[in-house]
Amino acid sequence: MKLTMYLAYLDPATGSMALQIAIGGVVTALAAVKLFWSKLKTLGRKPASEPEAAEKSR
Amino acid sequence: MKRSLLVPHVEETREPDPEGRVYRTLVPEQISHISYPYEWSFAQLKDAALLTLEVQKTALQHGMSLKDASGFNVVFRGPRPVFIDTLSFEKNTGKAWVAYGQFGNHFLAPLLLMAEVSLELNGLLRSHLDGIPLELASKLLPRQTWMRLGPLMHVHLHARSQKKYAPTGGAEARPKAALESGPDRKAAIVDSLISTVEGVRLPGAKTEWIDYYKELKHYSREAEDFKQSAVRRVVESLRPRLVYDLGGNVGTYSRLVTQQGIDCVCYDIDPLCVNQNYLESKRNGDSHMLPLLMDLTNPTPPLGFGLNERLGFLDRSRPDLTLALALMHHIRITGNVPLARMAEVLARMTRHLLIEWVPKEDRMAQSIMGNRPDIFEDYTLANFQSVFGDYFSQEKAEEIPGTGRTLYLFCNRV
Repeated sequence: MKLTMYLAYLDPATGSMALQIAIGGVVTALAAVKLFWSKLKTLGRKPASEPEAAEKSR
Repeated sequence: MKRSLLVPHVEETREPDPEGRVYRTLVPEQISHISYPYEWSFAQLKDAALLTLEVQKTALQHGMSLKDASGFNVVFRGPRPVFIDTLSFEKNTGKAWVAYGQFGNHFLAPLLLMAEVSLELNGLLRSHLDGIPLELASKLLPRQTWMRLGPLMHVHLHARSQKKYAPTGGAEARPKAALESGPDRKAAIVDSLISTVEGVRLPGAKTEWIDYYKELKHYSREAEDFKQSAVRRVVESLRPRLVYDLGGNVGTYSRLVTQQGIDCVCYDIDPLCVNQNYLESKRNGDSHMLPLLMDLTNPTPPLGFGLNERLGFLDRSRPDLTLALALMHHIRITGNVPLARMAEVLARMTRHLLIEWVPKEDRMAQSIMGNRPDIFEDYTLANFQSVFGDYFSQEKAEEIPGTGRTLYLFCNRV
């Protein structure tokens, strides 16, 4: 059974840096999408609240 | 610091350094009781993770970045995590976060293992002081974690990438140029980590002690009230600066202490109890309560090189008062610790001791004994008074009505 040595010979730095570059595009895109959706939600609330207010005042 | 993420500092004026290397001297506020990630419940570790990411996010906005992301950079003041590694900030250069891997080891891997496999896997943080290796975490995590983008990227693919670029027989290291060019991905990485950590949640599991107070049948209402009032009176008269509550469960008795404005560290072996105590203390804004995970029969030892990088349980603060309520039968019977040893260790720990004598014939003690043969010859009232008398003088003894149990207040002779 082969036991991997986690300590001495691993170089986490390169692997971690490489992954960040690889996923960089994905996470940036996701962050942009989230920002877009949250902006959409706040925009969407304004016109919706007017007919709601009109409903309540009837 | 305005948002209380960092521990407060005071600038000190000192003699100017003759070689001109010292720019400024900042003295951090000293934390009264240190604790470590392997003693935290799930929610505490999660909050510490989110704090670290919040600090990094804020740092980036100021053109800085964290050099490291270890769990030891966070400490709890009561139920609030606070970032203490002020020296970790550096100017933001480079396009990737140098501490990304370490964040995975110290925070993300243990959180996922606790939520997806077993709560007790935070114990791996004791044996892996620099965090749980991602390859190990990836092997242990169930297959469905591969279906979630966060764990997939930050643990599984991350582990693969680390293995690929390992110097021994791995792929050629990518040219440095690839790491230097391109947009700065740090902010997006932090955002992704924040969503990933927020998405790690405990399933609704039950543990052994979480329903203890709900199912409390062996104390009558009268007995319970008497006990609480007795504890309250002892605390009022002693006015301790620091109290330990051993086996404090969800903090019912600890709360009697913190309500009087006194700091209390509430230890329990059950991770869900500590978790619940923490969440409730957070909700109530109880700034004096620090819930921690601890097995008293196998408490945190000193760790690290020379066994003095991380303090052991007995090497930290010395409480003025320790509560050992409804506890000793567990330590004696389940833990198999003789009464004399119990007295000796408690005497090393505390000045005053409020301990509940639970006779062997007690219903709970008997049920713990189960089918065990009665080898507990030293477990008698006479012997209890004798061995504890070697270390403590008795200040008070009050019987809890209708229970056969007695509350003893001891004062350390030393």
